[in-house]
Amino acid sequence: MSENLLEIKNLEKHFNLKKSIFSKVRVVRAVDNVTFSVPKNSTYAVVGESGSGKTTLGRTLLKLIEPTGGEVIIRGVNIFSLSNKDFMEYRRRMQIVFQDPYNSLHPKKLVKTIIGEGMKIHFKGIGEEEIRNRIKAVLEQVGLREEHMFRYPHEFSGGQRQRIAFARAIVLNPEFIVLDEPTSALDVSVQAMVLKMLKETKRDENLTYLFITHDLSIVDYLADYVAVLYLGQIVEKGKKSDVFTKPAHPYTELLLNSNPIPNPFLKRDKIIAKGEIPSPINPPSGCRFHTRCRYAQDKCKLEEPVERKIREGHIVKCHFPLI
Amino acid sequence: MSKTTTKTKTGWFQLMKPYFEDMKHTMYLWRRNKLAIVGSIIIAAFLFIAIFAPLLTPYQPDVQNLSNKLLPPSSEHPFGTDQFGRDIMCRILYGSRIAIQIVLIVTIISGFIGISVGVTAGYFGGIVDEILMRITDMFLAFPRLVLAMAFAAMLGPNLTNMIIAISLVNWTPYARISRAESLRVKGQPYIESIRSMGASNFRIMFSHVLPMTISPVLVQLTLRMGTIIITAAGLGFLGLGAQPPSPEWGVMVSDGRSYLIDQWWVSTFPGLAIAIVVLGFNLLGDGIRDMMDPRLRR
Amino acid sequence: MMNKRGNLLNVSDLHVVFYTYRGVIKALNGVELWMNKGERLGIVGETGCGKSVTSRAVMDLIEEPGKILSGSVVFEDRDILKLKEAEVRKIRGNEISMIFQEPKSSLNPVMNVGFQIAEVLGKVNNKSIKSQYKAAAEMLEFVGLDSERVMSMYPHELSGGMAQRVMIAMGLAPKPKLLIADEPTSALDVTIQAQILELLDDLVEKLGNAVMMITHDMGVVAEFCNKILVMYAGNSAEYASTEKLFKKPLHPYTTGLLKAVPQIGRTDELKAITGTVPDLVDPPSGCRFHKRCPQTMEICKKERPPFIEVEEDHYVACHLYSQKGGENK
Repeated sequence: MSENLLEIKNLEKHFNLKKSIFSKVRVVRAVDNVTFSVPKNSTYAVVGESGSGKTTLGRTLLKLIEPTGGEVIIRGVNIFSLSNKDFMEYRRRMQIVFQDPYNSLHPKKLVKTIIGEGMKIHFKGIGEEEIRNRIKAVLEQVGLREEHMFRYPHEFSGGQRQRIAFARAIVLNPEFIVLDEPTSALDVSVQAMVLKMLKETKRDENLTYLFITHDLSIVDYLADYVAVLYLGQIVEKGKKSDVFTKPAHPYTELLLNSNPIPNPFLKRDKIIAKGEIPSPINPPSGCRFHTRCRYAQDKCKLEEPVERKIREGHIVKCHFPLI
Repeated sequence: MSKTTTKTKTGWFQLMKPYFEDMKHTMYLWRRNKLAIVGSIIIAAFLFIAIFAPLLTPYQPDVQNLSNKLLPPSSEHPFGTDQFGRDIMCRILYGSRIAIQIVLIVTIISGFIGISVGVTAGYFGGIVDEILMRITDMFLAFPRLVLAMAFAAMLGPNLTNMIIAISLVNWTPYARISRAESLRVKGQPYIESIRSMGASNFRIMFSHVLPMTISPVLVQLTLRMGTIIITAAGLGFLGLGAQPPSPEWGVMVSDGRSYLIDQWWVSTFPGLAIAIVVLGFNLLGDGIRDMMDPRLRR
Repeated sequence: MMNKRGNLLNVSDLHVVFYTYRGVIKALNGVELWMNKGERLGIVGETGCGKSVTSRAVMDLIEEPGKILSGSVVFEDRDILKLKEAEVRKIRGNEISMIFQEPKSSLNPVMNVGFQIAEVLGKVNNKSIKSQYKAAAEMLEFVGLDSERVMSMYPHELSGGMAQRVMIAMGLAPKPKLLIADEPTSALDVTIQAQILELLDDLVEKLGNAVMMITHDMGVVAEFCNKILVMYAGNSAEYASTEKLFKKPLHPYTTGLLKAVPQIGRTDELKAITGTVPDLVDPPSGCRFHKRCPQTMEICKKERPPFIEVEEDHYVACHLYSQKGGENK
């Protein structure tokens, strides 16, 4: 196993909600004590539903949202402890691609400016010609053409816009990219093209991905490792092959079962959980999943479970893991 | 879908393209809005007159001819003459130039102040927003005309000071709108993206947020033009702006006060000019507002 | 030329356009579709295929700037498009009802849940709204909600799953013959989606109504529907039973689509369809898929392929199977 590029330790993002000066402060633990390590050149998937905190997690890693606790260690350096100036270098190395293709590119800027601006910020003194060449190279890499840089985002389809967003991410030669549901808003056939592009580019450019999604089929296609989030906590993490074939946490089992399979010949017993997904503002006591867990027992309501090791690299947070 | 382009240089046409795209759609809705068309015709005529004033009249606005004083409208003097024998139509035509000057300069200055305040307040939020918005509220607390009068009186009555005075009371709606747009835009992924690149706040505000506030502010700018003219005319009438013998329309109306009953044309025609131009701007503005209505289906 | 293939609904040669500033969008280009009583038809397709427009046309809900140019929508024995508005209104919300993707936006935000369901029932049973409250509460229980709690709640207080259940309650309250569900679970989390689909499955079994489910999710359609219509760029491309379609897709677009869908446990590489969905203001001539089709022939550029039965109850619109196409091979 290769070394870790990122080590995320006890990452925390709490939001304080206050309706007025007079009401009590309520805390939303959007990301609650999250710990995992991303090996170099791997694709690490983070899955979860509404309220899981997966989106907040992605943004907190890049300090787009200020974390309220924890560390992110890259090659021995806790990047959260760096000054703004020192952090700039890491901003270049860590990029993000967003979910919404229609709002992630500035509507009034040329594709050239959108992709090239990062270079002007990070490579001071870089010449116009070199910028143009880099943009041309990166557009071709994502399957577009040089002349596309002189157009505006609204002239492109959703899939093409995501390719442009990705081109923007790789033009600075990063080592780590957070992909926040990059294909959720795209049609199936377009999604396939974008996923393939992501896979190939990762290989060609030696990248490491953090892939945030709710779609387990995509995780199966792309990911090496997966962490399952529920209401801000990791309930299970490990190698994708381990977690998917033999899930240890009841929630993982539920997620896998709920995922509709495009194969009418595969008949399965459906597990239908009771009730709604609780709000992260007021999570259930003890094990947060107990309200919907079909194996829940009294202990689950009272005590928060600790992490248990199923095997090397496969951790689960449950009083009564399935394996 | 789009035609391929082999251009390798970016001309200004290409740079303005997203604004043109907005306009194409705007034009489509325009054709369906009769009032806006009427408004545009009036304003177009107004602009035409201002530009070609000297060509449209054989007279000079400030040449006195006391033997011709207070003549009623006739073929020689379509709008009659005033108490100094000056042709009124000629003075109205030249007065339109002053009106345009006022509208343009006030719009530019107050637009600049308003957008700067609004974008800064919206982008930074927090204490900066609070302070800037309280300042805006202070300006809004006074009736516009009264405040303009106060400034004009303070600075001294002349055209330049009047322009400054009106600018100082006219910027608040632009601040409100650009702040609202700023708030809306700052959470968008394309702003998050440039933040994640490590761009400076100034760069983000000026180069990314501001362009998005232009369209809605443009609507307000047009809507306010009528108001600027009325305010200027009001101040002129009160003697707080341009001074005689300037053919500013408000001053002209004031000039004719003593002659209202028997020589009604001295005040009436400049008054009509003000009314028509303001109507034109209002119709235009209403038309634009209707078109910007998001409920209007494409 | 009307088809009489289904005993509940027959849509023939439907042409719908939208007038916009960019030009005329030729949204539906001769759509053919039919349903039998109690059937579950899934309409799948990507952006711009016209599946939502078709569902609106079935209820004669196309409004400006859209226009139905030609075609027929025969529900049982009446052509909805030829009926007067007053008569269509009797069918809407009664014999045919619809549920939408964003339940919270489709519910009236200023009225509570109980009132909205009672309103539907009042219209259906031709009684006062007040008298229908008990039946409304029963309907809520029917969809698995605690009526005591939920009757007085307002839409913004409901979660996504609950709101969708309310929508289903309103949709099924009139005991319609046909329920149209337009992406009913696309906005829901996957575990809630499973709940809602299970609920729908259960209720539809009990009531025996037909369901037209519009979705882009091949997994949902595989699990819920027994017949599938694949649409592309305003045309019907392929129609077959669910099992037939997945096992033996005939249209190159269907094949392409199935190869592009990721699936847990799938070992072969995903295959994307080259090109993009066409611009319907200026669509390709002939078969609208010809520019992206790996098996395109000369005739595909010239003529639109007819939607014909190739095997028993398996229809395709493709020149690979048409007479003319056969001649050109």
